Amino acid sequence: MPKRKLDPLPSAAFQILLALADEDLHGYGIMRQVAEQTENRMRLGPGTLYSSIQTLLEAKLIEELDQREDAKLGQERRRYYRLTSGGRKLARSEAERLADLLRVARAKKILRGDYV
Amino acid sequence: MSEKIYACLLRLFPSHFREAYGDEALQLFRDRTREEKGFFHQVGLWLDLLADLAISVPRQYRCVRPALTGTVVQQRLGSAPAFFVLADESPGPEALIFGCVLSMIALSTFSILLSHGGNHRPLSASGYQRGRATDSRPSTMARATGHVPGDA
Repeated sequence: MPKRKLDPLPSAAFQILLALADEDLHGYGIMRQVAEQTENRMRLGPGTLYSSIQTLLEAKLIEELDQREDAKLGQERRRYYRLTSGGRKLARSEAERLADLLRVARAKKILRGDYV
Repeated sequence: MSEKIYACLLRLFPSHFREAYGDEALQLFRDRTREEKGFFHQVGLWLDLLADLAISVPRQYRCVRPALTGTVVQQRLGSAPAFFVLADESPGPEALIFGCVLSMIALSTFSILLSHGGNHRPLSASGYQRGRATDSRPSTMARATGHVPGDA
């Protein structure tokens, strides 16, 4: 099976982990959540989305749940995905890494405006 | 119609990916076309999809190859020479183009050889004798002795 390195964690994979942090979602739900949390800057296409999902599943960072319907989107059965504890841990460490970078950027006065 | 086009484009992905996620990718496409209506939204959707294909198709093929090579090497080390059938992997676009170019070169080389090989005489003994029999010019010996075959 194909293997993709997750070190460093690709941006799409990190966004998917964040999207699944609150609730279990199917593919389209993940795509919408990622678009929402990035203010439409990132819209994952089917190829990128499912390649990333495949990699995350292989690394056991997310898990696949039983198929079920989404009442809002009709009667088609959809595969849902859930964040595992390993996935949550990795998302946290990636967020901490980015926070460290942010601290450095603030210390160097690179950032302007109301950033975290 | 647009769904059929996208289904055809999905065939660019390796077979293992299509088997695992082909239906879901198509479902995602249906969801997006249902939500993103209007000319400009549709154009945007297709641009997104084409960009996505351009990025993710080569990546999928790049990811497959090392895994296959690794398997072959491991199995060769442990046993006698073996053959491997990779029929479940559809050839990539670059392989198809390379195959077309190679076939055209082979075909044109073959036709050039055929057209320029018409005057070539076979080197076998029977061919040599046939060649002598049909040769109407008198040989040097015949000219020296004055006996020319075919002279009345």
